[in-house]
Amino acid sequence: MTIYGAIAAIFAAVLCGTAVQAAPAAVTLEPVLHQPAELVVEAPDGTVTTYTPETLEALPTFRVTTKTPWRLEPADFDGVLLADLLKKHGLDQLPAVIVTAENDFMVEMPKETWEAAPFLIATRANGVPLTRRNRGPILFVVDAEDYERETVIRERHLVWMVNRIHAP
Amino acid sequence: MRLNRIQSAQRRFFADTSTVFYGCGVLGLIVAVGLALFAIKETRSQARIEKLARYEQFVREGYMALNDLQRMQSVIARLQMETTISPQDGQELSRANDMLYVRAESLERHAVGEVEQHFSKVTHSLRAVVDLVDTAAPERTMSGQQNDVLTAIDAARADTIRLIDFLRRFQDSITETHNRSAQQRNAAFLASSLVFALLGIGLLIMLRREIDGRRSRERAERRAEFLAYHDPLTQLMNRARFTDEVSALIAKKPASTLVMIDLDQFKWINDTLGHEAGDKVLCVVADRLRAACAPLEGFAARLGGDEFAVWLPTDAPATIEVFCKALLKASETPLRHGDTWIHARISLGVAMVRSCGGRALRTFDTVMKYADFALYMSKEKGRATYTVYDADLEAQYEERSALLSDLHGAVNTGSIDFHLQPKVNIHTGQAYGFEALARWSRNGVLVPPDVFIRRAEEAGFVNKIDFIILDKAVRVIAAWNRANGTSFQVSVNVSAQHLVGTIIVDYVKAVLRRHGLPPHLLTLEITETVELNNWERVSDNLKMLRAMGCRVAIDDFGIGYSSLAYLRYVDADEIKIDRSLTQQIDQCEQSRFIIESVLELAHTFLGFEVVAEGIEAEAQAARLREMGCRRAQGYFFGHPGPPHAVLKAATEQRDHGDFAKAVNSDGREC
Repeated sequence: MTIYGAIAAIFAAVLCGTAVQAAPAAVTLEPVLHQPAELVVEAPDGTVTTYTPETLEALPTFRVTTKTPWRLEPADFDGVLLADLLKKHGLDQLPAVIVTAENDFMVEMPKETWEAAPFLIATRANGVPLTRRNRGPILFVVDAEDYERETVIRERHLVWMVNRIHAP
Repeated sequence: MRLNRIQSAQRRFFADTSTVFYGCGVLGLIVAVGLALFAIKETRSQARIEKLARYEQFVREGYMALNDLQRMQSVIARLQMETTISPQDGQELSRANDMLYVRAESLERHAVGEVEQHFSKVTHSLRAVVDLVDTAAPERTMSGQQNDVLTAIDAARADTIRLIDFLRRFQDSITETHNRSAQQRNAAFLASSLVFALLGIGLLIMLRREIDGRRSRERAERRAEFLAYHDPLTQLMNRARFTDEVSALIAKKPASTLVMIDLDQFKWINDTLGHEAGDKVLCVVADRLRAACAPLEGFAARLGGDEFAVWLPTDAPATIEVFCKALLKASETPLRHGDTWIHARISLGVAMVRSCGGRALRTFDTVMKYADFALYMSKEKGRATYTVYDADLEAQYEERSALLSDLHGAVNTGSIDFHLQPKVNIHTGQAYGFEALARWSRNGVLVPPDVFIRRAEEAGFVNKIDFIILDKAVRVIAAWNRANGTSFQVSVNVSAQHLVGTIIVDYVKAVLRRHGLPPHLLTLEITETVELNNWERVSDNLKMLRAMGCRVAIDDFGIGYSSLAYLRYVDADEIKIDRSLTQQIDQCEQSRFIIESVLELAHTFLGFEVVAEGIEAEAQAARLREMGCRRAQGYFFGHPGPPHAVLKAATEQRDHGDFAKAVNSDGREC
């Protein structure tokens, strides 16, 4: 089954002429204790939704196995998809969203960035909740290949200690 | 000459063009290599920009580190106010510390290359803060260590600022390098665009020259072609082209006409007025021909010298007549050259192609020959006229050719004979001498002397006839004088053309010696039917003949070329007044006046004898006697006749006639 899938994927890739996009795989996560953290999402209509890592993980979760600029060895990152979250709160229709971190870092993410490759809002790495010293508890992760390929995605978009997502 | 000039111009052109071409090529190559080198150099510029971007990120992270330190500092400052640390404070402290930790980790990543030391230092001082807080945190009492942490934060901040400063300086130097490179790039772009503009101009010039060169080559070719087929002076076709054109047309269009045109007295115009005048005349005639041809759709050509030809695509006699007459009329108009007027009169010979015999005979050469013959006939008729070739004309021509041929034969065999006509004392009628007149009996028929003498003159052998008559007449007279004790004179005609050469002097001397005639009994009568230019030679020869003792007479005085002007060159002993004057003596006052003047001139000033020719009646003789003329010749006194009969009659007259009267009236012995 996997062999056929791989062959089909290769064929599809060759036919479509695009590189294989490592699609995040859906994953079921067992509840675990996270460091206290918040992710405040402000919808365009002004509705404010506050997530904790736990409530976040209640959404459909996925796994991306990749290196990051700060990890030389690949790790299994689990979390929810940014696209899902934006869609859920109607932010996906905006040309850009603004993401801020606990350390006052702020970046504007144009639509092209999260449409170019799947952004995972990771809460765990290798099954362990992400700590702040691991740039958690909420970390944006993009597959390394996608990150290398898509020049529109810069290191500043891989926000760590994510705290807030809102309209510009 | 012209071709050489064209060739050398072409060579020069190609040499110049290739120089420009190679110049452009080399220049282009140099610029291309230069640009390639520049492009290689510019790849480093890319690296510089990337470096600049990376440093910008470093600087940003440096500020973020300052921010993180500031956060930690403010957390600690708040904690200093409190005696116990609440869980929330602890959480805040821990978070601030986590952030510093992550910052240190992030900065550590950049600690490579030329910035390693600076980054390491900052990382180290940040870690020092983190470690201090970490070790203190479990106790939840920071009081003792708070100052240490604050000191560490200050140190870390100072290190971070130094890092930022270092990075800024580094950025500046890169920026400066980059700016310099950009300036160089601009200069290189400017220079290469200038060079390319030059190249473009060079290529345009080359293209221009190529076009010009091609044009001038074409012009030269057209000119060469024109020269090959046209007469450069008159711009008319030349003989070669005319021959080609007419040859082709004769077969295609037999109802056509060829006209040959010859300038009358062109040689005279050239010799007297110069070649410039000659050229002018040729051009005017060419223009007239062109103008006359145009309405008939014919064309004209200059065959060479003063010879022209016209082809007309019609042979309607009326049209041809109009054409010829119009041309002749036009040529009546004199043209001005400086302060003289030149009459460029022409003679025309017309040959209609269809009258030149059967189809097979109608070649260019035949038609030309017939036209040429017709032209010849026009000249015969006295020039400034036209003649159309036909069969009768040809018959005349044939007859003329036969006559000339027979005459040639007669001259070569010496069968030209002579008659003698007495020259008499006008008072007594007594003959004192005789004029020897050439007689030619062709197949038993006498040919009039004016016909065959003229033919012989044209054919250039009249001197042979002169010699024959001289020899024969001198022989006969000398023998008669010896045998009968007479001393008759003899007059022999000598063409003025003949007197240009020196042979005549020796010949006369030889004849006189051979036949033993005293020189004073020989009179050489100079006749001239064509004008002579070389009068000095004639004059010299006549002087020599007179020095020998011979007499010289000017024949046919008063008409044609023989006029008073002669007297400038010729020391004459005798003048023979032309028959046309003596015959009009009764009717024409002018004739009388001329004769009286000549007699007056002869007796009073120049001392030569005057002989009146062509006396046919007593009345004429009487009139001349009254005028004081002493010598005469004419039918009234005696017809020309066979030498012996004439001499016999004259001798008898002398023996029986009134000798004394003759002596008295003449005043000297005849």
